[in-house]
Amino acid sequence: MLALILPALAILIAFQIVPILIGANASFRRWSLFDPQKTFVGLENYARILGDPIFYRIVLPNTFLFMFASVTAGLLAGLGLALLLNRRFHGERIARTAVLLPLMVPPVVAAIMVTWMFNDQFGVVNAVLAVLGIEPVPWLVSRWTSLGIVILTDVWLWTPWFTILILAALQTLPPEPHEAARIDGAGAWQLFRNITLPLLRPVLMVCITIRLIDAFRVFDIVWTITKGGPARSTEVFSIYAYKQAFVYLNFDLGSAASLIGAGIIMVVGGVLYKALSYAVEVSR
Amino acid sequence: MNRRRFLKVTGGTLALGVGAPAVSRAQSMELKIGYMPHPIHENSIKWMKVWAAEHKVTLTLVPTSYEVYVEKMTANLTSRGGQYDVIWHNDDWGQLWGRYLEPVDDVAAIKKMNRFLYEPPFVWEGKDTGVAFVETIGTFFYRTDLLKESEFPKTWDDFVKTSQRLQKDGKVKWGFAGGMKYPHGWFTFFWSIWANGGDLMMPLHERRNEELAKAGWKAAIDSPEAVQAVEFWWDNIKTHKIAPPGQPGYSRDDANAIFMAGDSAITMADTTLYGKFNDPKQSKVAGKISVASFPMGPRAKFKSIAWRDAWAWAIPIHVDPARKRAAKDLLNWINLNKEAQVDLWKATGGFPPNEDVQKELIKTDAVFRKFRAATVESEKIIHGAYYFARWPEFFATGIDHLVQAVTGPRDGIKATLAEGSKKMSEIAARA
Amino acid sequence: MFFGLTITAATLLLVFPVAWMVLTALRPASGVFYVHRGTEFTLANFAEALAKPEMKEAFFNSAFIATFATIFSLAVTITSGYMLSRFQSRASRLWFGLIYLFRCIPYISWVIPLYLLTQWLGILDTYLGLLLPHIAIHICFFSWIMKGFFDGISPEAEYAAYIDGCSRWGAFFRIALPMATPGIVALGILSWLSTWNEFLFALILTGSRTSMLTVRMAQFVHETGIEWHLMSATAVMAIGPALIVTLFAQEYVVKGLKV
Repeated sequence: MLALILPALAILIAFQIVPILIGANASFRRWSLFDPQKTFVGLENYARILGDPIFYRIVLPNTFLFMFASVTAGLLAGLGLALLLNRRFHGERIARTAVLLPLMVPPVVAAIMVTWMFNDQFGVVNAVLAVLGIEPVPWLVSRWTSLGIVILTDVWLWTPWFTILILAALQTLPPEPHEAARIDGAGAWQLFRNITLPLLRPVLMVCITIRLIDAFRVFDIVWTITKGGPARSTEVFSIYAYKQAFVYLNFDLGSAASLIGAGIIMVVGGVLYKALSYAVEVSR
Repeated sequence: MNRRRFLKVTGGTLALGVGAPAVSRAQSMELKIGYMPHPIHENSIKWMKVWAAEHKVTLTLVPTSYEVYVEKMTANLTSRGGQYDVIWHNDDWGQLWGRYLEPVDDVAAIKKMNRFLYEPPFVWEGKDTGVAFVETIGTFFYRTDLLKESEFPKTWDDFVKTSQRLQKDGKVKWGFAGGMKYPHGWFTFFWSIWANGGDLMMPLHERRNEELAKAGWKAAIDSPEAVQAVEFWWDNIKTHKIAPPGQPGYSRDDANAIFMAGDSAITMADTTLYGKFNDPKQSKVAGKISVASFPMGPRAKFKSIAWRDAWAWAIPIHVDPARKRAAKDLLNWINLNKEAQVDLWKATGGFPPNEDVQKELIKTDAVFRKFRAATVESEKIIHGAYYFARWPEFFATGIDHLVQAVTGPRDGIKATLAEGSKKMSEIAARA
Repeated sequence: MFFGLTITAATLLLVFPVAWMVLTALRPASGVFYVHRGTEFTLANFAEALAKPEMKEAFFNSAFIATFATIFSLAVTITSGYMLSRFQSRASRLWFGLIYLFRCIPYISWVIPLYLLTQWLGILDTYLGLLLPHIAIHICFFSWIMKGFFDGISPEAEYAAYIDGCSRWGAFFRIALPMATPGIVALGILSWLSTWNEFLFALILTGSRTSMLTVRMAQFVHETGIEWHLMSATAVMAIGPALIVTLFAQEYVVKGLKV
C-alpha cells in the first residue's frame, strides 16, 4: 500500500508542499519582493486583509457568486449534454469532439476572444443586437454585466469538462439496474431520477467539489476580461491576492491573502466533503 | 502492461527528461539578454547582434512576457539567479531594482542623452543604473483627412466642438477614443490632469522622493484641476457623446482598434504606435495620420505639456566583471552608432536617445520634426510616472477611483476622488 | 426531432466562439477587430506566426510535456484512486485529506517559491522541471476523480476474483481497471488538454531552452497592445494537435456503448 502512495507523495511534497510552506512563512513577515526584510510580524498581515472592506464587501461576495453560478450552470449543461450524447446517432463522433472544443483553447485566449466579442464598438455581440434593432450595450463598463460575461465564459470553458466526465461515468454504470427497472415499466424520468442519478452521485459529487474549489480560485479569465474592474468591482479572490503579491509586490500580504482564501475554501470544502461521504454511502 | 515493464518505461522516460535538452557550454563569451518581445526591444537586439558578431560574443536571448516580467526579473535579481546579464529596465521600476543593478556611469554614451531621462528613475545612490535605449513619449494622433494641422483642437472647448462637428457631418463615428481601464489611465485620465495644471501628487511635477516625503506624500486627484479633468471625461462620454460609452472599459488595444478602423478621429498613444497606425497591413487609416500636442484644459499652467521617459538596458550587479565590461561596451556602442539610432526611429517610431542623432534627424526627417514639435518641444516636460516603491499600488488605486468616478453620477465625482486621494496618500506614505 | 435540435443547438453554442476565432485568424491584420465588417481572407497570419522564433519547437515541446505528463500522472493516480476507493484505511483518508488540502491553495502563492526551488535543484528550464510540477498538479486532481469512478464500480467482481485465488494486484489489473476504462480515457483527454493549454507553470518554469506553446502565444501580448492576428492564428493552429488527440481518444470513452 505504501508503495502506491510513496512516489506520488514525494512529488507532492517537493513541488507543492515545500513551495506552499515558503509562501506561508512569508505571510507572517514583512516581505516585499524588492526589499525582503523578513521581520516577523505575527498576524498583522492577516488582520490587514481581513479588515479590508474591499475584501469582505466586494471580493468575497463576487467570488462566491461566481462559484455557485458557474458551477451550477456548468453542471446542468454538462449533465444534459452527457445524457444526450449517451447513445448512438448519426454524427456522434463529430458531436462528441465538437462539444470538447472549448477545452482545446487556452483559457486566456478564449477570454481575449470574449473581450473583443463584447466590445461595444466592434464586438460581434453588439453587431448582432444591432441587426435585431437593440441599442449597443457597453458590456464591460458595469459590474453586473461584466460579472455575467465572466461567468458565461467560465461556463463555456467548463461545460465540456463536466460532459466528458459524466459521459464516462454513464458508460461505467452497470446496465442491470436500468434493465430491471425498464422491464418493470419505469419511464425515462423515473429511470433517471431513481437509478441513474444515485449511481452517478459519486462522480457528480467529486466533479462539483473540484469545480467549486477551482472556481473559487478563478484568475485567468477575470484578469484578462476585466482585471477586476471596473474599479475593482469584479475583483475575485485570486485577483486580490495576485495584485498584492505581483502588482504591488507585497509578497507578505499576497501570501496571507492566499492562505486566508485557502482557509475559507477548506471550510466550505469540508462541508462538501461530508456531503460527498454521505452520498457515497447512500449509493453503496 | 505488467509492473516491471511499467517501471522500465517510467524510468527510461524520466532519464530522457533529465538528459534532454542537451546544454552546450558556449566556447566564446556569452551574454544573456532578458527582454520583452516587442518591436523596440527586437530592434535594439538586432543591433546588439551586429556588435556581438564583430566582437565574437554569443548572445542568448531570453524573452519574457510583460505580464510576469517584473516578478520573474525581481525573483532573479533578489536570488542572484544569474539567468541574465543584460535586462530591460522600465522607468516605472526605477526604484524597485536600484540596489541590484550595476552602476553604469562609465558608459560614455549616456553623456549624449538628455539628463532628464535619468533623473530620478535611473539613478540610485547617485549612480546611473541603466542605459536608455529608447525614449517613450505619449502623443496625440489624428486623422489628416478629417482635420487640417491648424484645425487640431488646442483647448478642451475646441476638442469638444471639433469632435461634435465631425460627428454631426457624418465624417466619423467618435471624436475620440482612448484607453481608460487599469492600467491604461495615461491615455485619458492622466494626460488630461496634466494638461489641466494638475498632477497625481503635490508639489506639482515633483518626482524626487525626498521632496515628496517632505510634503507628506499628498495625493492630488481631488484637486480642482483633477476633478475638472474627470468631469471633462464624464461629459465627453455622457453629455457631449464624443467618446464611446464603453470607454471606461477600454484597454489601449480597444482604443487603437477603433482608431485604426477609422471610427475615431483622434486618439492618444505612445509615439511608437505610429508604425502600427501607419501600416496598411494593420490599419485602415494608414497614410492619413499625424501627431499633435495635448489640448490644454481651462486651468492649464503652461501653453503645452508632454511626458518624456525612457526604457533602459541594465546590468545585474552579480554578473561577473568580464561580462559586465562586455555588456557596457555593447550598450555604449548601440547608442553611439548613428545607423542603429536612426534605424530605431525609422523602424519603430521610438526616439533614439542620442541627442546628436536627434539634431540631425530634425534637419533631414520631416516626420521626426513634427513628432518632436508635438512632444519634447512642449513648454513643460514631465515624467509620466513616479519612482517610489509603492507606485504600482498608488497609481492602481488612483485609476480605480478615476474609473469609479467617471462611471458614477456626476455629482459624486468630487467625493469619490477625495476618497481615492486619501487612500493613495496612505499607500505612498507606508514605509 | 427534439434530440437532433438540442444537440445541434448545444454544439453550435459551444463551437461558435472557436469558429469566430478561426474567422478572425483568416482576416488580414487590419481586419481582426471589426471581424464582421471584413470581407477579405488570408493565410498570412498563420505563416507569420509559424515563422516566429521557437514556434515550431514550442509545438513539439508542448506535445511532449502533455503526453508524458498524462502518462505518468495516470499511472500514479489510477492506483491512488483505486486505493482511496477500496481501502478505507487511515492512511488513505490522510492521503485524501492531504490532496484536498493542497488543492485549496491557489497557484500564485507558491509559484515563486516553486521557481526558486526548481532553480536551486538545477532543473529550471528543462523538461523534467516542467513534468514534475504538472504531475504533482494532476495527482491532486485525478486521484479524486479516479476514486469517484472506482466508487461507482461495484467491488463484487473483485471479491469473486479473490475467492478464486486472485491477488490484489491481479484483481485490480484484470477486473477493476478494464471496467474503469471510460473514466481513465476521459481523464487522459482532460489531462492532455489541460497540460497543452497550461500557462502559469510554462511561463514561470521555462526560459529559452524549453519553449512552450502557451508562452509563445503570450509573447503576442505587449505592453503596447496585443498582436491579435498572430495570437488567434497560433491558437487556431494549436487546436490541431488537440483535435487529433481528442478525436482518437473519445472513441474509447464510449467504447462499450450499447444501444
